[in-house]
Amino acid sequence: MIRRLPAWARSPMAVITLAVTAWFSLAFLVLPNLQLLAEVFLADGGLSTRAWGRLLGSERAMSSLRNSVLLALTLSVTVNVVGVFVVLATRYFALRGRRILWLGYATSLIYGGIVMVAGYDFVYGSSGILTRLLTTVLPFVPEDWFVGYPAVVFVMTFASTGNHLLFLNASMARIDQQTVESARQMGASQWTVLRRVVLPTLLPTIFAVTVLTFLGGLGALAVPEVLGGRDFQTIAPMMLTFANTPSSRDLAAALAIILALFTIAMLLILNRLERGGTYFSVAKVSTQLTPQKIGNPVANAVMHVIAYALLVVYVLPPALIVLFSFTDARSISTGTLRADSFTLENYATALLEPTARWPFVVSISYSAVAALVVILGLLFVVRLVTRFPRSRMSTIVEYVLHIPWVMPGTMMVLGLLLLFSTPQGVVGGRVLSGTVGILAVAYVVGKIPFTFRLLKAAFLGINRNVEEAASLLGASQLYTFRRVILPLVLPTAAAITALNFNSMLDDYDTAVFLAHPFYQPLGIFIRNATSGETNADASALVFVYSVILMVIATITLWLIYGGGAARILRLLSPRRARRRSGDALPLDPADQA
Amino acid sequence: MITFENVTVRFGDFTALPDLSLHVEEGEFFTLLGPSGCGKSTALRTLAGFNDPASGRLLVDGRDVTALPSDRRGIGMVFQNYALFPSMSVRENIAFGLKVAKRPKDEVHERVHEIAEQVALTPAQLDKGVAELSGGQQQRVAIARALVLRPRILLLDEPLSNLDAKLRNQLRVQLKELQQQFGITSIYVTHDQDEAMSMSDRIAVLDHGRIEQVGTPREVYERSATEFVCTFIGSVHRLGEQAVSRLSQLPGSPVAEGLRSYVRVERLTLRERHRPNDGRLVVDGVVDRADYHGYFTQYAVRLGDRSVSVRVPWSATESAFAAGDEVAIGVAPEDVLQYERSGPEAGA
Amino acid sequence: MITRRSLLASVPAVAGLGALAACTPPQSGSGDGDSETLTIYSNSVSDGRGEWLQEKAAEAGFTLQFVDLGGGDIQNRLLAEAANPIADVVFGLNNVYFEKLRAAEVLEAYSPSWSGEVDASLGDGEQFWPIVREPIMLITNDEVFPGGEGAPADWPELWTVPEFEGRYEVPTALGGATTQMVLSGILARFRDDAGEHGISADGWAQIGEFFAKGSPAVEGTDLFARMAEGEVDMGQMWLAGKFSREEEYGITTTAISPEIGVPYAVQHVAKVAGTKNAEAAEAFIDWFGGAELQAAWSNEFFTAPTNEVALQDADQDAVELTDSFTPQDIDWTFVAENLDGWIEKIELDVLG
Repeated sequence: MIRRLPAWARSPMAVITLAVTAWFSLAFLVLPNLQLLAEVFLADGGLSTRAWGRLLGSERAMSSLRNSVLLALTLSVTVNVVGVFVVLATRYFALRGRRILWLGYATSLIYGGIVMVAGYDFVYGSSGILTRLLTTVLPFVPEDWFVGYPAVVFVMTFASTGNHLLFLNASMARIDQQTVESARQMGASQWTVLRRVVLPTLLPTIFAVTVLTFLGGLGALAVPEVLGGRDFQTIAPMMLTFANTPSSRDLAAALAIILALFTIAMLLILNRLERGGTYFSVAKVSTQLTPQKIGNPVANAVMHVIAYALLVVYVLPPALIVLFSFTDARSISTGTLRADSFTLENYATALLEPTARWPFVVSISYSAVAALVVILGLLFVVRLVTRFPRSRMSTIVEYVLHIPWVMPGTMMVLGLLLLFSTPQGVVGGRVLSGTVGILAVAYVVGKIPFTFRLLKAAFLGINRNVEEAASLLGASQLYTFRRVILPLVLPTAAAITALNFNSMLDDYDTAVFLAHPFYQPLGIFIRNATSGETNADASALVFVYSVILMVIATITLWLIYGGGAARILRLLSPRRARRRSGDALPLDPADQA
Repeated sequence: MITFENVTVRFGDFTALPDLSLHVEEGEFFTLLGPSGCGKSTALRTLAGFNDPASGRLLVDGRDVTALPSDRRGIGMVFQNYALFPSMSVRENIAFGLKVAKRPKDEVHERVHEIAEQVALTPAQLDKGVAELSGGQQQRVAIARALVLRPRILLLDEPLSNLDAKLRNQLRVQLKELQQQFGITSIYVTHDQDEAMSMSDRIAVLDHGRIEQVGTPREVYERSATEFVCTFIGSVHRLGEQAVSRLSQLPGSPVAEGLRSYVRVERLTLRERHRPNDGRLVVDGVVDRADYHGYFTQYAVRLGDRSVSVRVPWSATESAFAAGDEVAIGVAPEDVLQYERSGPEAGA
Repeated sequence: MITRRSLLASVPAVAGLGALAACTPPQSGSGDGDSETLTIYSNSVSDGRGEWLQEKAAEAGFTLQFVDLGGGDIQNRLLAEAANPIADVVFGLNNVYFEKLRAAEVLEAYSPSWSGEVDASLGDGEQFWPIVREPIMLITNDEVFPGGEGAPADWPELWTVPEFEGRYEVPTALGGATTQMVLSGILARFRDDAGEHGISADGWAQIGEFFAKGSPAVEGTDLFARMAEGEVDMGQMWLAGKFSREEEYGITTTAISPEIGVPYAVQHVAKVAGTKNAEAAEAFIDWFGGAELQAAWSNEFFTAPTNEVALQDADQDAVELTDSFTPQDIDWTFVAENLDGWIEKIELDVLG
């Protein structure tokens, strides 16, 4: 009898986890989307095919779609190239000032969107620093040289390397110094060691990060919008317009389905590649990798030059944003500084206005709650999925949890809003629209795929024997999970939480539909303060808010990565924390194998 | 004590263990030996409860444990990669099972120290992180962690293969001693025949998920039941048809023609030519190379266009040969191992 | 292990922040359960207008809470919340949005006490009532066209007169209210009920030219910034925006006044169907659209009220300037019915 059941059905923890997952997925992933898709495609009792004809007939839609896919593919290559270089420069090679390099490269983690584009515009735009230099030296260079496909790829490449910096950097810890040394002794050149020993070790993480890069490229909004010019517009802005127009939502849904096909194809390919490798190193005592000196003096010099050139590329835009946040709107929009440009008024407006602090509180609370809920929930779900990797149940769960990557955010949010504005049995007959909770639900939903994938990588990195050993020692599933597995994935979980937290702080797209009238987060506040139809001095405010957000993001990252939390704890209890110390860059699942 | 009763294990479409039946006696040191992929680890992991048999039963002391979760089987296990808990200290690792069982603190402390001493871990090492230990020390922790619960069954999955040769030999002896001291029924998985031979009470040789032979090390070595066992264990020389024919004609020879015939390299004799043959088949050859190993010498002898390796134990009476020496190789008919032409061509 | 501790350390910190969410927002009376608080959706409460209104309302005995979003977002939210309305009152949107809301049965009929003081035909005379009107104009940089000299006389000249090619800004995001008014103003001239989305083939060709020969707007860079830089010389703007920006960017502009007139964005106020505070909502509308408040609003924010009684006390410059343009004769019901189709067609087939 009992043995007819699949293995997972015999574990109480698995059954409970699965039940909760099934309910949550049904209520917040499946039903809202079905509701919206039905509304969109089922016209007059029949299936409407209007959208497909409209899209296929539109040259602009097709070329935008092509551009989006092209961008996603290009970025999958360029981001990996730059990302791997950046990681090598900061972690693998013994370059001078590696710490400064790391901090500089890490700036890409603390800002994004339109503000980031503005930052790059200060350097490369028609009145940017570099442009002025270029046009002076080479008068034939047009002022608007920085436009189109190359410009978009350039900016997005540097903007997207943050994941590499976090995740790849950590998987460097997986490389055994002895392996590198023995390879060198066998006569392998530094280049060969890099190619044959180091890079293969990083490959699984590279795959995982490539998914993120690909999706980022596919959904690119702000950068192509500003820098794409006439010839390189992508599909996301069009989708956004359609999603916001009730009668055109079928077009947005149709586009979403097309993009979803690309996303699924990419996921399938990477899943296959992932399955091909073995991802935990055999537990030999590894000697921590020490930074490698570059033997060849020319190569060494070239490496330094490139690394520092990249540092400038990375640091200039955010530095200029901070600088310009102290100036007036005219200076910002023209990119010029005069003696009288500087003002503290922006900061005064942003910080001293009595109502200005409330959105910060709301945003931080929502982000924190959502980031914690999503990580706590998914710890159990990913545990379930990785424990029964071959079961059909795991496959289904995995696909369902990827839905938020497949549906564009706006559609997802509208689905939630529509579904839950009437009492729904699935949530106990309650109406959720207009409550404080629904925005948190939407945030949680939105962060599920990212969290799921990275957590899964962390779980897969755990040596399976370790939990088997625990089980044989009599530990129950829950006990093993709590005492053995959790400590191993906690560093990754902490990092994901930090990233999730930061990414939700300035959300607008979700909040605009779901925020409770009294609890409106920062994103709405920023947009209102800056939308073109109001105050002209608003762009300065965006910069101020962005700088404040950069500060919050930096603090979060410092707490998790920079050992900030540990340092604080050590101050609080100097005796306990003394025993263990070390490099506080966690994150790679395989560290623990 | 432990019985595999027609156990079949499948992974998807792949059948890793087709119909395995096996019995291990109480207190026995039993080894599963075979090349990688032969199903020996699968059998072990099935007993531990990590694989679900598609059919068949597992009995421990006559009790059916097939559906029992692994945390309730009371089995200890030591893994090839140690499988220590990286986030815990050595002490916490060893005490893990006791804590799960909610033993009193004093008892935990006492038993941890006791077992640590038995596996030669120092008290100072107990408070280290596991990553700070060497491979051999880590494996001692793993052994201690398994033994501290005093299991009646201990499973060892290639526990020594990540260690260097010297450490391997040392731990081999210690493991065996511990096993005898505790009287634990042990199942040991290895692909290393030396390990299997020297440690085991009995060995089961596996190939493609099937048992080729179960027996004492001596039985398995000297009376290999199948061609696979014969060629997998030790070094053998495959005899040509002509040699087999000539051997069969010697007086009182048990050798039959038309069978695949092998002789273990250390059973070959090497003499000067024209000495009496003592009832052996003697073939003339020339020494190509002599490799001195101390307690034996390995010769490569050319017989026409073939080269045969002969292992001659050190002896005070026999003379040594050098390259170029003309010699005669001798094979005694009773040393010939013969098998039906069943399996695929086996290398000699 | 330090990292493990970091997470543990951040938990209490984060939980503490979470607890803050439970505290009361600064603006609301005593929390969201308060039936006395009116929830108002509006796109016209930024820039200090909301705070000003809250203060005045408090004096009049109303507690207000705003959801401050763009016109399109408010429309979407109201449509999606139709089954369970959160808003009590909505104001500030233009005719197009209100026509759509009306069609979706999101609003409830209410005749304000001041309904006789406004031109009811500006609204629908039933559900939504006008409060403020504002012309949507083509403005030109005075440095290039001093006092409007040499500037185009009407929108079509932009793409028919070669000199203007590439010198005027065209919108790239079509969701904005101003943009939609401009497009409506152009397309409505080519109404042809047999044409695609009610527009003649010539109309579509013209709008195509409009986009093809313009300089696309740059996300994040204001029209005035681009004019100051000399990138473009003209573009779309609404009345109050023109004045605040001239000051900010230090340039002067002239709004052209075509013979056919300019589209007027008329802002309305309406009661949301199904509001739980119907009485308070009605009282608020009576007070808000009344002559006294509208005159004060005008003086504070440079607007032209639609309430005729309010006109005498309103900001005379604002009223005068607003009246200096001829209102373009546009059938807003027709626009509301077709605007989404226009936007879709422009997105798919016209832009490029």
